[in-house]
Amino acid sequence: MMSSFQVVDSSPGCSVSIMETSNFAHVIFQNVGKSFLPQAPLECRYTLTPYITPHPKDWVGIFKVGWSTARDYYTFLWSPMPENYEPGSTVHRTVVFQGYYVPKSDGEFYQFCYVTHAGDIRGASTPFQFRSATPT
Amino acid sequence: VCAGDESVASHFALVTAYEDIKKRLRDTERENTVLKKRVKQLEEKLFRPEAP
Repeated sequence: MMSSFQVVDSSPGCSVSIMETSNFAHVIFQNVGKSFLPQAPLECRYTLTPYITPHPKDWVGIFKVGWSTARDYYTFLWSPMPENYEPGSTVHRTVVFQGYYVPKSDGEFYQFCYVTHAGDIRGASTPFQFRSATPT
Repeated sequence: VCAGDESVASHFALVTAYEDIKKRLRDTERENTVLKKRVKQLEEKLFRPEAP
């Protein structure tokens, strides 16, 4: 029920949904597939919304679904800093995980998470599996 | 940063994954039903051919 996620405030410009105000949706992962080939290069595309200021020590991790701390990552890559970053701008980024760092076909579900230099989670993707045969 | 933030983030990420997998399960069950029906149709056609 979408309405349960709305925050309504009477002052102008303050009626925004939790998705915008929540710290966990400041980075949006784009076009995440339902499954990927095991141990093959994996491209991860994401968008930094104006709500987040990137830092050279921010990173993107592949986490097994059900992780409890940022230290539970399977593998990670530093998030490349945008050139000539303007505060408050929207930035599209792509990182490629090399095949030998990517999980095997193990029946588990994984997700991408964006973690700041301070260890805060600012975005989580929909889940995916690693499978050699992809139906449909 | 308090430890509670990470626990909230962890829960949020799990809910995100759960909701998506729940939707996929629904889609897969629907497809399963369609495929079962199709197999039954084909079996009937194979073992009980219509009289010419």
